Amino acid sequence: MKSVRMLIVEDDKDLLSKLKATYRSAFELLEFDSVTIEQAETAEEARNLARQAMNNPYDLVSLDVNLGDAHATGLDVLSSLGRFQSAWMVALLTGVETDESLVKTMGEQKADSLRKRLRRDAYSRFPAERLVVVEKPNSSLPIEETSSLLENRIGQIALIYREIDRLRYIFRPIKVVSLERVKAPKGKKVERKFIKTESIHWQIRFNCGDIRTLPDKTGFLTLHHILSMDRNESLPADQASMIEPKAAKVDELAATSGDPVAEYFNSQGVEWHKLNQTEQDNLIRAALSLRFKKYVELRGYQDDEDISPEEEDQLRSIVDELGPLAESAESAYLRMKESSVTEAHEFTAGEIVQNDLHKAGGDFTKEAGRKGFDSPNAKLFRKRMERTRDSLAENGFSDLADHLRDYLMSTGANWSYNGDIEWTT
Amino acid sequence: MIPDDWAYDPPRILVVGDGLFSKAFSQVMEARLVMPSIFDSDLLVGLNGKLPRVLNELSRVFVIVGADCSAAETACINDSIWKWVVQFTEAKEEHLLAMQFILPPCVGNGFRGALVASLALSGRNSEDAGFGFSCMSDGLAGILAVADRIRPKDFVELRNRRNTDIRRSALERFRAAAATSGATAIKEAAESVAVAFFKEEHLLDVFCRKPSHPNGHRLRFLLNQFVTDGVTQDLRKSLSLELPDILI
Repeated sequence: MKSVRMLIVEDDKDLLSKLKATYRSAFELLEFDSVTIEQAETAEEARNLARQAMNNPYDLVSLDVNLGDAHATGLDVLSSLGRFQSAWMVALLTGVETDESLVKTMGEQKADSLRKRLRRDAYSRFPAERLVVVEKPNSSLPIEETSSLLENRIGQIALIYREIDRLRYIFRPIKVVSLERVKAPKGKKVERKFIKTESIHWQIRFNCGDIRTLPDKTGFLTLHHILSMDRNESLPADQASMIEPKAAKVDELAATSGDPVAEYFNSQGVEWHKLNQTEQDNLIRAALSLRFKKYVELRGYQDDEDISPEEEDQLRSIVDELGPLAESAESAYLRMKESSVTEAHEFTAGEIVQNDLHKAGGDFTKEAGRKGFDSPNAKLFRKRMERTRDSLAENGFSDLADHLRDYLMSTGANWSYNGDIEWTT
Repeated sequence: MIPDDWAYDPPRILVVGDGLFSKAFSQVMEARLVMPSIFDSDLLVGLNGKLPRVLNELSRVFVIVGADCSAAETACINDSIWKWVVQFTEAKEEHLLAMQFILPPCVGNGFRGALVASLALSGRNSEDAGFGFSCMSDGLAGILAVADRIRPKDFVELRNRRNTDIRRSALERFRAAAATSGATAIKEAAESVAVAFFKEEHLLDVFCRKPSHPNGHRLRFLLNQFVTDGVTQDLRKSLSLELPDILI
């Protein structure tokens, strides 16, 4: 079933009813089963409708430029439609180039300025590929000629709409380059803390311009779903992930199971209830292991208050991805953290040497509870400085990195071995 | 600077003002109170250079006008609030807002007239255009009755209205003429400003930058010179230099 929901903005009542009839017949000719038409006679009314249509955009808006208002024009309405993404396509019906009433409404100077900036302004307010500027038939022509020209032009708009509607959901694969933190084996120092990684993401446009970038698998599944759904279904971006195939499956099974972990695995295509306890435990462990390592790493940074905004986003997406398993991941992380605190500290060669060197004095030993141990703030400060230094070096600012390293080294002793200082980071 | 806690608990109603009345009023309205001086600082730029959308929920602003505050200063506060709204909301200049000025009991009609001129509200019902006026002595019921009648509007409406305002247009012409045109055009533009502000020359203050009154006074002096004494070379030079710093 093909349907179109449209808004006509026109201040001339006679023309408005004529436009409604003409659009209806033009779409019926193109075998549209349902044509819903809403109308607005003033710019204010139209802008309010545009605001309200944010979550249910119009398929087509037929918009007059001169709305008989000295304060607002159709271009203001066009801005609202663009800003709130409340129209898929706009046909800007303009008579400003030939309309003599424009001077009466706006004054000669303003009318002239509107004529000059119409096209340039229109395309900066609404995406050009979905905007058609059409000249309204001049009212000075004989009535029959005006009607036939209007029918002809509206027929063309309907045809263009049919073509442009095919592009409703665009999608394209893109290569995303990001910086990944290098995880060093314990006790080993890495040359680079961050490496460049490339991955494929899908850019998908939902409805009227909301573009989402989704990682490869999720993107592909969403795309598959979008292409197989009814074309008339509205799909705002905020709902898109909820009706991805796997999420849809979760909804189906939710009523039967009631167990969030079971729902999660059912949504992944696993027949959870058929597995025995050991198999279920193994599966949970396996599912966690995919993202758990990264989760632990990022949670560690978060606990140290040393997490960057990008890493925080990454952590959030992992938690979303884990869904009901996130709680298990968190308790496992806390257990690991506890055990790592209690486990005996293995000294590196440097630390052993240092500890030996300072044994006699006692005050300089880097052990918990002793005077020489860094305060948490000092540790955080040092870590940040080191990260900044590494980042500078990796990005080609080696002089600055060297300078920072020298600075750290020259004053490092004071920072490390004076526990009474309040650190400002 | 936008207060940090707004990021976690965005304001819905804002009260701009200082003094006891503002404090009490903000508590009664369960609104956030900000001092007018907050608008003197630069706008905050959030993480990664992006501006936080902390005013997305904001729907109503009450400006409590202090007894020592001039109409021009109040007009500046209004402009600063809109600047914030445009910067810190998702809908930017299309964010709907109801603005209400609560004036001290001692001010006369001239104060309100100056604000009306600044908002290009002459001949219109201000409440339909998104702005309301009350007096501190109206009492809470009276103030809220006005608040109830205000229809929230966006900055586009205010801008469009200002663009078609006779006084503002005359000043724009004058500004353009001072920058590029010859003596005759400047004299004509100055005359059109004089006509637009006839017997209301004091209103020029609300179209001037801070300090509004001295700048307004200087503008009146320059206009007077152009209209009565004609355009001399020196006067033209000082006009082209001074006008950008005088007019908003």
